[in-house]
Amino acid sequence: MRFEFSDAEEKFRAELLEWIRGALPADYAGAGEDPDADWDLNLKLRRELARRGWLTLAWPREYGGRAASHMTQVIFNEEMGFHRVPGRDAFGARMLAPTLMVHGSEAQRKQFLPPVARGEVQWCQGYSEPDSGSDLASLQTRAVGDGDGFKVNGTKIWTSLGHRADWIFFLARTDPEAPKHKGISFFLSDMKTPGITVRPIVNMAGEHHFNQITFEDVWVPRAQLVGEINKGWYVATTLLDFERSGIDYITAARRVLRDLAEHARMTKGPGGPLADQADVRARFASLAAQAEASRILAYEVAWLQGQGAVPTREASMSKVLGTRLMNEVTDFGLELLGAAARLDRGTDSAPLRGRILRARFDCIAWPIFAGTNEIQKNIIATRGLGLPRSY
Amino acid sequence: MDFGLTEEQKLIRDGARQFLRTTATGAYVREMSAHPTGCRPDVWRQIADLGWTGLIAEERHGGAALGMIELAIVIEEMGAVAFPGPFFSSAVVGLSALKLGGNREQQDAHIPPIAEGARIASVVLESTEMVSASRAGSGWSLKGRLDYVPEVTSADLYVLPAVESRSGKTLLFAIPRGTDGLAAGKRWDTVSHDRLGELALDGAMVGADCLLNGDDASTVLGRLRLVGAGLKAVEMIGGAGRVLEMTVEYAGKREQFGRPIGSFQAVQHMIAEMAIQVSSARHLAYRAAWQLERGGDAGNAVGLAKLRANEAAVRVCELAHQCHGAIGFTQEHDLQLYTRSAMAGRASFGDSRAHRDAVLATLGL
Ligand SMILES: Cc1cc2nc3c(=O)[nH]c(=O)nc-3n(C[C@H](O)[C@H](O)[C@H](O)COP(=O)(O)OP(=O)(O)OC[C@H]3O[C@@H](n4cnc5c(N)ncnc54)[C@H](O)[C@@H]3O)c2cc1C
Repeated sequence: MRFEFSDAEEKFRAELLEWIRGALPADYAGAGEDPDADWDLNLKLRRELARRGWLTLAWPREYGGRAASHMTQVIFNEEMGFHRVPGRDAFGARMLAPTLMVHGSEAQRKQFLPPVARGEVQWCQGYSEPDSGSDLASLQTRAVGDGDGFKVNGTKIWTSLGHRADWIFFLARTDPEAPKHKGISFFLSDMKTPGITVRPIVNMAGEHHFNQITFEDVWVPRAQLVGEINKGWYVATTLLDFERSGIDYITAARRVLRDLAEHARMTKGPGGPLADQADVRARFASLAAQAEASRILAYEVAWLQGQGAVPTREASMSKVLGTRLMNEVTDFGLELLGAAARLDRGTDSAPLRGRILRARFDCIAWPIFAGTNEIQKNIIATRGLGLPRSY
Repeated sequence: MDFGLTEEQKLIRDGARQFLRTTATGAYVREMSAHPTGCRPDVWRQIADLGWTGLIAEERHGGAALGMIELAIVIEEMGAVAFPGPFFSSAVVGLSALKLGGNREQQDAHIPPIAEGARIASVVLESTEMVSASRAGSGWSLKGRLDYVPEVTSADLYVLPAVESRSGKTLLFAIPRGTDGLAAGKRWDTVSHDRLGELALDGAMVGADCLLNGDDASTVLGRLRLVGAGLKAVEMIGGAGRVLEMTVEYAGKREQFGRPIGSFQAVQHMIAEMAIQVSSARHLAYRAAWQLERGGDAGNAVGLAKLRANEAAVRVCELAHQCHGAIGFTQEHDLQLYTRSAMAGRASFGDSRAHRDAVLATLGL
């Protein structure tokens, strides 16, 4: 056992931190203040990350990556998240690209990986449908053979960044007679293809983040089918393994906790700074310990991956812990703000620029997306602990 | 003990439910978020005609002379539709302030128009800043700023505390809008689109008739905070109860894996937990209303009720979101209206820390 990072890892962290210090505008308040301004900054920083080879840190060298260890990636994600630096590319660089390395054809890798590596293309994920959320394999979008390709009809929903995306990877049913997992295929499509319509959905925080996407007789060339026909479920789940990383949730929670600690030091309560009050200290201590426990579990996931293992149970635990922690931390934050917890970012006197309230809204979605926490617990109990399935 | 309602109370509840659920739809509530008073004039008129704006006013003032339990019944139903508007500020805290703090002339002057819904009262109970009052001729000069002023831009009458500059005593004034030197700031951006903001008093001159409760007003203010907190707890539980109903309904309808999600025990347990939270907190909230009606010290009853409601209301919404999945995370879905109300309710009339001492006192701590 050795609970410390290697010299090389620490050196990487120092180099990254140095860059981060220069990368953000002085008054940058963290994503969410102004989605459009943030988006421009996001694209700018993404290209810079690409130039530095950090967008493709995890990719193998043969695809121009750095073949960085899982632990180095954790460090990268932690520091970027903690400092609220936009620019990372979850859908393209983290999810789709490694999936194509496993399941894509040579031609697909040649065509699709370089633009992702250069930070020039935005992908989105067309998995969920109105009637298929947790039960993803029940999806109904249809792709029917049509000449040298497929004609696609159906509706995708909750597509994050669908309105920003150049390309979409999606699942469609190619054999309606087969058992539900065995009739699905994985496709790629240009978002500008005729027949694709994007309808915005405003979320409960009042922001436009996700969308409904309809496919009406959308033609997708066969060259954009990934893996074999009707074997898309394997491709889809490979990708999901790249999606789930608890470290991002935990890092966000740690950052909010630190901001709150600073607020508590600076804010007077009845009889001295809030930070001196016993009940406040007790909550901080408990949350900080939970945060550290969650963090070390996320490190374990990275370590296991580095050993070549597939830590399904630990990854699910990490997602549950991190998302729950963020909900607890932000909710504690609102309690700490007391009467001022009501003030949103449009009010000048809103503490921490209303960021805690915004984060409180935002993280309501976290135990829901990327596999609900109930589904994660089903996985922990059945696949992880060998308990019998109930259905 | 009697947990039941009288026939008259049941009629009030059924009438309120019927009216509010048909009038205050999700679309209406959203529309009101930007409205200057938070209540469409025709709806406010109907509420006045139903006798709610004067529910606790005496008959000689045109009121219905009903008590806190009846008021709680109406407020629970309002919570159940996340009803926006100045009702709480005016007809609950405003009328209570005048009943507790006004002399006969002041009551006769101010209560009737509030009771008939013609005027809106705003009582400042949560300000983090203070106004000072100095004698000026036969009246008073008021100077300072107040924040967390309800119905800040639409109130006709502000009831506000001020510190007597010489004695340091807290006084309570009732000042009409339009008084020289009184300026309402703009409405704040808040989680549930309520109408809070700041009020500046720049040497505002008010007559002696504006001073409520001649002497020290801290007892009255304390009582008003209890009325506000106790009934806010009721409102929050009204919201939580409706969220429970919505979730039961949705879980019975939404299917995944070929069956309703409500058949999964993971989902059932979340909903059962919501029901446990609502039931336990609801009784405490009604007990607080009952205690307020009965008179005497209501500090413990209200502290317990508000603390429990604070914890229950937000928890219930959180569980409801989890059961609803992505659909509940949209602006289109009504659930967010309740989540916003719960967050606002928890922060108003005393957050949990503020009520902790009252609860600890029940343990002798
Ligand atoms: C902010 C946000 C962004 C998203 N972005 C994307 C995206 O970019 N692309 C995309 O494809 N999707 C996206 N999603 C969709 C997300 O993947 C789904 O919300 C998720 O899979 C859950 O599906 P659902 O919302 O339909 O809920 P449901 O599946 O209907 O679940 C409702 C409730 O039932 C429970 N439940 C369901 N089945 C079981 C079971 N077997 N056992 C126990 N409990 C069960 C769930 O845990 C939940 O509590 C996003 C969602 C959100 C909120």
